[in-house]
Amino acid sequence: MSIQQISIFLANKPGSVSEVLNVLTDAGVDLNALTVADSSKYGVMRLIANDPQKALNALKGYAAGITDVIAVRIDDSPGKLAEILNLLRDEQITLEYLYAFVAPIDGSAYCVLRVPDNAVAEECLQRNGVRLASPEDLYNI
Amino acid sequence: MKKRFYQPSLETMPLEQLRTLQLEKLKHQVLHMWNHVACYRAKMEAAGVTPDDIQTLEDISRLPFLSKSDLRDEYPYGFLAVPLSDCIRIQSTSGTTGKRVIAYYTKGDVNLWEDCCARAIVAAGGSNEDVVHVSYGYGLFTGGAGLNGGSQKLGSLTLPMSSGNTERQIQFMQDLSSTILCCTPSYAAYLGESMKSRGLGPDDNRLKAGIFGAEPWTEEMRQEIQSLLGIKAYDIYGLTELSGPGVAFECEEQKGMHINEDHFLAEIIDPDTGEVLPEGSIGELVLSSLDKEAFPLLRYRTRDICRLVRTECSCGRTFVKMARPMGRSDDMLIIRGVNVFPSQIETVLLKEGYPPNYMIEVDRVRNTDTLLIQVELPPEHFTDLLGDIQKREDHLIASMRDMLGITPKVQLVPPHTIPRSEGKAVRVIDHRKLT
Repeated sequence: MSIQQISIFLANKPGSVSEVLNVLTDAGVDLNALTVADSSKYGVMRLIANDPQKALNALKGYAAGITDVIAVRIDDSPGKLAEILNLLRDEQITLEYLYAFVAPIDGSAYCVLRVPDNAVAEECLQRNGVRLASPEDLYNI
Repeated sequence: MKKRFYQPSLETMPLEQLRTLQLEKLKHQVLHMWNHVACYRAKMEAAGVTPDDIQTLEDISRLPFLSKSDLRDEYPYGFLAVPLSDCIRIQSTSGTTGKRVIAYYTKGDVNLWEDCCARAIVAAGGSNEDVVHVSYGYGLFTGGAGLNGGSQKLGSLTLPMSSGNTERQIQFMQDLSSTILCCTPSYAAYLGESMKSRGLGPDDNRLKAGIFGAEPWTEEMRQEIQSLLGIKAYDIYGLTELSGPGVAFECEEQKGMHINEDHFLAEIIDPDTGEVLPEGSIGELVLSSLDKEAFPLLRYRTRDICRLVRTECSCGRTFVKMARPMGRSDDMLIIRGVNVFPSQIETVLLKEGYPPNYMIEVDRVRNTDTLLIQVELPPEHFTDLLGDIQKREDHLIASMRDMLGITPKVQLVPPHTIPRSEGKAVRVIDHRKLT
């Protein structure tokens, strides 16, 4: 069920993000989610595209790669994300990072999770009845 | 016809005979300068030495040194030793370390220089059947003119590409089946990288050898260039002041460069005291021309730190070998009292799997020197976790500390963001104002 996220290493300078977005636009890639993590020295951009391979091909020459992440589909109401993260906490599953967004079509919320071991986290979430998002769910928003 | 040597009787001359030839030429060269270069005669007089005092090769140590600043002081004609009407060419230094130096050449001087370059091409496996692709800059810089002349003398098909226009370089290399590439090592690496990014591997060109010089490089960079281009990479050494590239060149052993001792006499000195050091010691290379006409130089301090080794070479040449210079004493940075050569930084980067594209910035903040090394993160080292990138930087810092003895800052930057050079690479920016 892994989702292929594109991650790109960026310099801390004006125009870095827009440069990547222009490259992806020219390649006809549609973005469904995007986040940029920064440190004082550089940034890492992470995004979900409709066609991960096409996005990666367009980014040849960049320090970019595909990262397998998982995503959960949750109701857009208070406390729902906390419930899911509590499940992971209870089994000592570490989160490297996460980002969440609401899908415009069915009104569901999605949360993308980067964990050390996807299989372990997926098993935990499925056992507890959490709906995992399929790659198609995220690519086709 | 394949030849092992361009001028066999000179290149393999027995040592004793070579010594005799050198002494005879040295006496003439000293007399030539005494008679025609007033500023050097004045230096000799001040040192209390006359041409008659040069009776053995060792007597050369009685002669005064020359440095780049002497040449600058006498700009533009002070060291000219023949009438201008006998000169057919000038070349000039890049002026990277200050005012340019202009060197003059008679027909004989150009001839001698081109012989030296032809020897280098033959030593790299070249013959009249080769296509020699010269991507050194043409013009005042000696790189293009020297290898161009040597290649033509040898009868090779010579491609005067000059530097730049990488697209055209690659196209000619493919279409005309270039077999020997001549350029700076940093440009060779850049060409290799550019070809790789176009999907062209080491088997997609007809190159068999490269002759690279004009800037310091490392053994690791040689390996990198060899695997990128699928060639054997040979070192060549020279200075505009002495003629240009070809003062010394590498043979098939690829273990140090044979100095063309029938034209140049080499010494190693202690750079601080000027004392001549025994053969095998590391020190500053001092060169004297032995048969130059227009622009002869005696005991010229090159600022290059290296070692001379005279052992029997499997190639058959008897000329002494110089190790690749660790760097110029001009390039040496003194940071927090520690001597740092950019070549040391390059060695660490290549060992750790980084490309040889880097920028060194030195500054002084609150009376403490800072060293920042910017290096490109290779795409294959990419990780999406900031923590892992930090770990990579920390690891590099530790390796640099082991090599340099001081702790630098390291900044990883995205691929292809550090400017590539098409001539001599500018890798150091020193912001310190110490005047």
